[in-house]
Formats: sequence, structure tokens, C-alpha cells
Amino acid sequence: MANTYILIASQTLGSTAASITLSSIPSTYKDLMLYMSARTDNNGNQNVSIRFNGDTATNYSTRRLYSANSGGTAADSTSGTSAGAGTAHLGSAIGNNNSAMLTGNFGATFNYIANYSDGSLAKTIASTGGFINTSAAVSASREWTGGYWSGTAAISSITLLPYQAGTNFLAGTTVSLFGIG
Amino acid sequence: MPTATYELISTSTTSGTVSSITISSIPSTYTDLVLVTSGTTTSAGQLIYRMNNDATGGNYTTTNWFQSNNSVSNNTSSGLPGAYIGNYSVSGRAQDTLHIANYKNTSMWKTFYIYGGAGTSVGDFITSGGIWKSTAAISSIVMLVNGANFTTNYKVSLYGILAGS
Repeated sequence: MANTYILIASQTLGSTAASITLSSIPSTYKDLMLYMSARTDNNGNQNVSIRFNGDTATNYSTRRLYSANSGGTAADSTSGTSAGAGTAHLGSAIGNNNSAMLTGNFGATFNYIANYSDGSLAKTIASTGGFINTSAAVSASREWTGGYWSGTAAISSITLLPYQAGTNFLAGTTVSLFGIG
Repeated sequence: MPTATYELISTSTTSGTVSSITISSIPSTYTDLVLVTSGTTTSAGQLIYRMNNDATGGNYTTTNWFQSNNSVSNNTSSGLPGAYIGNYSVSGRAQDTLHIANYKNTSMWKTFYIYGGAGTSVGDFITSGGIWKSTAAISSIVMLVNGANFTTNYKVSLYGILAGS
């Protein structure tokens, strides 16, 4: 059987947490696929941020394309801002804790990291995701993101954080990491 | 035993600056294809994918939503010598993921979806859907950059996905 799309790690939060870390990622595969279903205690939309190998330096940048409720917006960001210091954005906004957000409503993000085990090249990540709030005050967000980390080491750990400083992932937030190729 | 899927068919890395990258001899084993590319180009230019080396512009149409220089745009592309469904990055590697459904089906045109691009400010980021107006099974893919070249260490990996029976 081909050694592909194999589950490497999975976590589901039983309580509120400021971050989620997946460590000891083997260099066995070619690419990684990271799935996340998330909600934070922030009173408003926000993104998930990602950090590789514990690198908190300003070695990340992101190019974003998103639509919140309607229209389209482009945005660039570089690391060193808010709680996303030393991180790159992942698409998308995730479920928040606004009073209009229905209980159990989470956002989803799918993130592909090519050539993660290459120890000589900078790393790239392509993300997509979104959420919809099905309460009376319907809101939604959909996002696509290109991310760049200038680190050339093979990725051995991934840390996920809410973008806004001082906010946390809520219980029920899940992360699954798969190795591909 | 579960059916093996999302299998690596081929992978390549450029050893110098090249004008095109060809993935050939694609087997008819799978149902869908996923092409993952990453790297930089020598200058700005549209990333083009040509199926079976079909260079007839009228055989491709794509609808694109993208951001360039922090500005959102959209267009429908046709007439290029391939499908304009990609993007470039001159500084800092860019990553594309191209999905091609039913690539070996000889009774329908081929459809594809792509998203990806630069994570830095020197390149575009795009999400696109498109068609190749041919019923031929896809056996090769040629990648080009319109008016530019691929630089060293441009990586291309082709995966096959087999639908369950």
C-alpha cells in the first residue's frame, strides 16, 4: 500500500487553549496537509496563525484574498504583528465568540505545505477555508492565502495560534496533520 | 485493504533556469490528478498549463479571482497558449495546487481548479476555475511562464487520486 495521506497527528481541545503544537513531525513524507476546525473566544472574526519549528522571528509573510459577507479584499501581511508575531496567516477566518455566533459553529481551514521535509529551501503554504454563521445575523467569510516562511530547515513542528493577541481556541477545536507522498 | 490513493506519480526539480517544465507519460490509472508546484520565476508573467501540449488558445477558458499588489481583480482568460490558471513569484517561493478532475475521461471536456501563489509581495495570488475543450485523456502537462522562465529549484509533484469503487 502506498505510503501516502497518512495521519501523523490529531488533537481535539477539551478546554480553552492559547495555542496548539504538533511536534516530532517525521521527515518521511514529501508534503503535509493540515486540516483545522476552530473557534476562538474573540468577539469578532479573525484568522489562524501558523509558526514553524518555533521560529518567532519576522521570517514569514502572507498574501491574502478573502471575502467577508460580500465583495473581495486583498491584503498582505508580514510577521511581527499582534499575536501573529513570527507567524503567517492561514486562510481563513474561523468561528468566533460573538453573541450572534451559534453554539457549535466552527470555521474550517485546509492547508497544504509542499516540500516540508526539504532541508535546503524556504517553505510555502497554500490555505483555504471559511465559516458561515447561520444565526439571524448571517455572516460569512471565505479566504485563500499564500504563505511563505524563509526558514530552510525541514519542518519538524507546527504551532497554531489565534491571530488576535490575548485570544484562545475554544474546546472542540480540532487539528489533523497528514503526510503525503 | 483500503485502496491506495493520492499516490505520487512523479516529481522533478529544475537544476537551472528553464523555459518550460514537462510532465509526461501520465498513466491512466487514476481518476483525478493533483499537481503541486513551488518555486520562483525570473520575472512577472502568467503561469500557463498546457494539456497534451495543446497550444491552441481557443481551447482554454479560465475564470480568475486574484490579488496583485494588494488589489483585488477578476477576469476571464482565453486565447493564451494554454490555461492561465497560475501565478508567479519573483522573490520568495510561490506554491500552486492544481486539481484536474476526470483527466482520463474521453467523453467530456476537462475541468480544473487551482489556488495558490506568492506569499510575498512580489507576486500574485489567485484562485481559478477553467476548462480545456478537449475530450482526450490527459497524458502530459507542460508548464510555462508567459514572457519569463522558471528558476533553479522549481519543484513539481504530480499525484494521482483514485475514486473508490
